[in-house]
Amino acid sequence: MEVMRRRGRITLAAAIVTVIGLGACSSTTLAGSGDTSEDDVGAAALASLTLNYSCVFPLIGAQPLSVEINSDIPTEVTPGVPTGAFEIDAISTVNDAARVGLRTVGATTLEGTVKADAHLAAPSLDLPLVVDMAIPQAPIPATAGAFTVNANGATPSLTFTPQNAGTGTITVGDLVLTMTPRDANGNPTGLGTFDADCTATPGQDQVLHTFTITGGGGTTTTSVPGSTTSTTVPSTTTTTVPQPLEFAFDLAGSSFIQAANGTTPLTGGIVAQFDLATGAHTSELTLAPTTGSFTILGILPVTANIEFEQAGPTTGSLVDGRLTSRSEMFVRLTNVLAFGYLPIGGGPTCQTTTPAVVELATPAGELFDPLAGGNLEGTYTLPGLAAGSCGFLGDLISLFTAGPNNTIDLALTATD
Amino acid sequence: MSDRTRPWVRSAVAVVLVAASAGLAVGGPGPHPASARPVQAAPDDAFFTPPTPLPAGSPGDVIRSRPSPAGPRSTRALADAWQVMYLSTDVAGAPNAVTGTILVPKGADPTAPIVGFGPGTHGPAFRCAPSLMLADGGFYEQPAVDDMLERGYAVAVTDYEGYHPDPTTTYMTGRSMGHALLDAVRAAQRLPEAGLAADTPVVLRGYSQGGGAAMWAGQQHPTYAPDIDLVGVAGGGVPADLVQVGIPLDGADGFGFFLYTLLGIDNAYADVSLEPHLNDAGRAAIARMEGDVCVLELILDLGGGTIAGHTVSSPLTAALLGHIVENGLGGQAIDVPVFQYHEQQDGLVAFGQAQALRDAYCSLGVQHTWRTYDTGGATGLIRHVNLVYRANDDVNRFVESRLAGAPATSTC
Repeated sequence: MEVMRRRGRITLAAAIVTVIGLGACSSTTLAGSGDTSEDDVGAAALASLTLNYSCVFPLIGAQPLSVEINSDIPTEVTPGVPTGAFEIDAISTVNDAARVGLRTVGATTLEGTVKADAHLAAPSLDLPLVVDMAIPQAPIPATAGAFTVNANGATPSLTFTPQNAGTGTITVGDLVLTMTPRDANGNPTGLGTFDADCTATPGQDQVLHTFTITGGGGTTTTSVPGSTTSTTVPSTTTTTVPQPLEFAFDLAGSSFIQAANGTTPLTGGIVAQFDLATGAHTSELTLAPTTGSFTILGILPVTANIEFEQAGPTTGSLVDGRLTSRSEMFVRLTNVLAFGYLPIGGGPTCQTTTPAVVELATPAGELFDPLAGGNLEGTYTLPGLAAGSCGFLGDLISLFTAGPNNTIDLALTATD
Repeated sequence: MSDRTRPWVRSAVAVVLVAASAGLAVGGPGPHPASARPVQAAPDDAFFTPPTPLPAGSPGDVIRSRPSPAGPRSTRALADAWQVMYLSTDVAGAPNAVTGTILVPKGADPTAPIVGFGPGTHGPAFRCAPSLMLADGGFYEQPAVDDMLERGYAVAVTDYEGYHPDPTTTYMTGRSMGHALLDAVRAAQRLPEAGLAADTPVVLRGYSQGGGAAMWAGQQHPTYAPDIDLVGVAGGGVPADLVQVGIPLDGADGFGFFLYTLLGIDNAYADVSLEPHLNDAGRAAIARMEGDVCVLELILDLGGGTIAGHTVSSPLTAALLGHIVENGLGGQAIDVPVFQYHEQQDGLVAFGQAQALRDAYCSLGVQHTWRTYDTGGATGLIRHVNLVYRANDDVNRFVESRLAGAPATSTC
């Protein structure tokens, strides 16, 4: 059992390598979306597909939705060469019943996002994808009739391996629309922001595009068994692990210090280097100096200026949408004031004797999206302050800061 | 570094990381692996038909249950759900069977609080039942339900009395609605699959019809359901005095709600009958309503209608008016903190009668927080609809505070 599970993991890692390839770090041939001059990417063709869906909306229930999907996608791709992202435009035709429902609750505009299930298939490759698209604000007509709503997004850049040589297909599946109707004042209506699930009407051809993956002698015979987790991938692919990719996030949140019964706001940033093959990351965490207000001895209001010094890189992983991280940092109290003005301690060397170890993770039930960000939470122990370095009340201050069960809650937002 | 300046590269990686994260679970190579929708209830679904005779038992006992979709895909990822039929009590004090949906956050602790959720008006036809809307993914109060699930609370949604293939909904009879809501909470506590304890704190919330249900349940709680550890009641757009709510709707956008209220009282009370008072247009309207009309059609098909246009004689008989008065709110205190809110120019549920309810509760010593809103909606009806969603942040905070044991601030 253990052997099989490990094999599954290796296969998964290999699949990531196969698809991501060297894309992000390569310096050439990665420009944009298949316009003109990308000879080595192959001939581009306008892929177009109109799909009929049934979407469930609040108030009006299931309604038909017709979506015309257009994308400039090459008809031929070369292994080892990143394809670049392809822009996708989708024009949805919304029926009059939906228009009436929306106008009845006072809506005059509609905006939102689309998550489109897609599927990429090629020899040795069988990959579900989610393509995110944005729906810019569109007017909801006052006059009767169907109306159109545009969405746009981009496919991921893909790099194929020689094992993938042959015919590839991109299939479009179901959609999740996240919609916010607004009234003439720009306020949300009684429907708020809602999700509408759209199910493709059965019996349609859902293949958006068929293309050829060239090279490799074209004699690859790798077959795809019934399950992705048992796909056999030659072990040599593990040598093509790409360089880590960098993601940057702003962070904001707070930490509650139990011994001092007070909360400190936290701001800063994190630059994470993800190893795509394993999901592991090594990151540089920056926490801005902050000020915390506490009450010590039950009566003495204290303000502390706090700085953080990272004792090493932050490490962790992103697996199944769950981000974990482990940081070690010295916590320094540069100045401690009672009643807001009376210095009672602190100083440039007034810091924890050992680094505080802070382990954070995505809260249960949430997902971390490396593109957008997500929340992190955890608990940690604050070590005591270095004796004699925090002024004449230093030991007292240490007594009322050190201890376990401090909590931390952070929101990470991708830096643009 | 340059990677960070090229969003499409990040997008590419992000998609793959997400795909990789999901990969092991997604499994098979089908063309759209995440699309399988759970089976939905057919419109003639026998699950909703009460057994005759009703089984013996206490209010809140589960008669039958089955797993059901919790809502759209995003909600299904958040929670498990079951449709239930449970024992409750009608306006005459007799046992009845009511349906509803119990939603439990995935991985919820048995001590998770329970939010009893009274839906707003869904409509007279069977297909409008909140449980059917929820399972279909078209429940118009899904954002409020999701807010509760995201906080780790279980949610007990009542359909109210009378949603079955030959519907007899007892619309706006608060005495039945309050029981239905309290017993939905008990059903959540008693449904073994939900894994919820019987002694966790409970908050009731609802808007419009649901606001009326929440307030009625609050008033009934001390005598009818003292076993429930109720800690707060939030009700908005509350129809407290059905005369004051109904009269302005004659000839207005909300006429369908008035006619539906008369139908609801007819369905609830044996000594009232609408039929002798109806003209052909009235009979046709009632037949259409019970056949296929949900809340949107109440507005679109019946808006602007009049009582005179649907009747040959006044249906507002002494018996009917007596039942309207019986189902008026404010006669008893609610013994837990109350949050009541209303649109200042509500064109469906009159503002003045809600303010009068506030005054009544204050004079009864209720810990009452009152908030009014100006949503800027284009019509009075739209103003009412706006608060279905736009007061949610305030309601959420009230619910959180009650469950955190914080003291309530009365505005009386």
